Amino acid sequence: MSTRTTVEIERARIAELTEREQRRLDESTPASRAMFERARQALAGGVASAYQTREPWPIYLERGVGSKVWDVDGTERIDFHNGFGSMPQGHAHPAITRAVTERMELGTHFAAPTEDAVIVAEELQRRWGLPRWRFVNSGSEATMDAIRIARAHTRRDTIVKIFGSYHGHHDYVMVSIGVPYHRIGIRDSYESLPYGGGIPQSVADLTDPGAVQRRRRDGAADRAAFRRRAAARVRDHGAGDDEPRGRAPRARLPRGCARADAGGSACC
Amino acid sequence: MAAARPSLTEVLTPEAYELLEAREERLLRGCQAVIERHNLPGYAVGLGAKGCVTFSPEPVVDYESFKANQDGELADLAWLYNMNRRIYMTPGREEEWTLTVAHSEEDCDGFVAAFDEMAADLTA
Repeated sequence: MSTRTTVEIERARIAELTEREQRRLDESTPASRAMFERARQALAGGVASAYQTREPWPIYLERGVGSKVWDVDGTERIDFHNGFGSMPQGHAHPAITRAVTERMELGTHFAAPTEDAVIVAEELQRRWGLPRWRFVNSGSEATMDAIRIARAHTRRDTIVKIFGSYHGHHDYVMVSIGVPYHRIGIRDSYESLPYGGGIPQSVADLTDPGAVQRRRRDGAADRAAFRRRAAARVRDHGAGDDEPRGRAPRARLPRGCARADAGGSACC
Repeated sequence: MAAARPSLTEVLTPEAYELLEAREERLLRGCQAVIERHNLPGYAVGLGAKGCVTFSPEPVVDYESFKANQDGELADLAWLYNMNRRIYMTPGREEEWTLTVAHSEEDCDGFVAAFDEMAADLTA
């Protein structure tokens, strides 16, 4: 790719097209605009999550079927968002719709285990070759619980994460994500930067986003240091790569170190 | 759990993963062809159901190289082009797409067509 001759795109042209396209989108989403005016009176920022905010207003959706979604203005679009990767099944899949409908008629919340949980655990066990499973409500809970277990198991406090990656919404991992280039720090010693207010620097300091780079550089010597210091290495994976394909996921981890996946699973 | 059960046993089957990979390959090939036809900086990259076009002229190998070479203005424009051409794309600069087992070849071609239109407008 670096051997190709590429064109220099004029910034003025980008700005011109951006203005044109922004105006076109604004004009085609009046119902979203009206919904935003109403929503902001009750919802913080007019949305259910900060990841849904957008200027000048969010695009509010009404429904989805298969690969398609419809916004509140009635515009149909092909969905390539799919819940940031959590919906590879598509929307309203008939098999899932049928199962959920049947479950609704049988009652849904008992604070007690059901056979569904056993069957899902057995299938995940078969696919991944991992012995025991525990279900949580989100990837954030998965990484938070896995880190706690790893710290208890190893009696170490430091965890390692990938710089710039999102691994969940709790303080342990809301560190060094979405950082401007000038604040990254030195390559061999990336900064541990809390993501916004409310995350104590002392908590952020326990998360080391530079260790992966140092391991690549120093090889065996740093692997040994990593083993002595880190309770867990946090990583994530995208939807669609959750098939084991014959590999043992733990094989690449240092001994005694736990793994926490933001995709919603944890093991140690 | 009621949803997870058929999701694993009836929907995300080995055959479904093969279909996802075929769609992913079609989308990546289509986007890369647009980039090369219009001599844009960047490349298409993906794995499984996920992928993206980055406008970085250099290979992105970590966050540092991503941030050093990110073209935020172009990424923002690409999102607007998609939304105005019936493509609902992940918000945020250079976020990835996610395919589903419901995506058709025509769906993937629609994404490529929107990208092609932007590339043509940029280089006209």
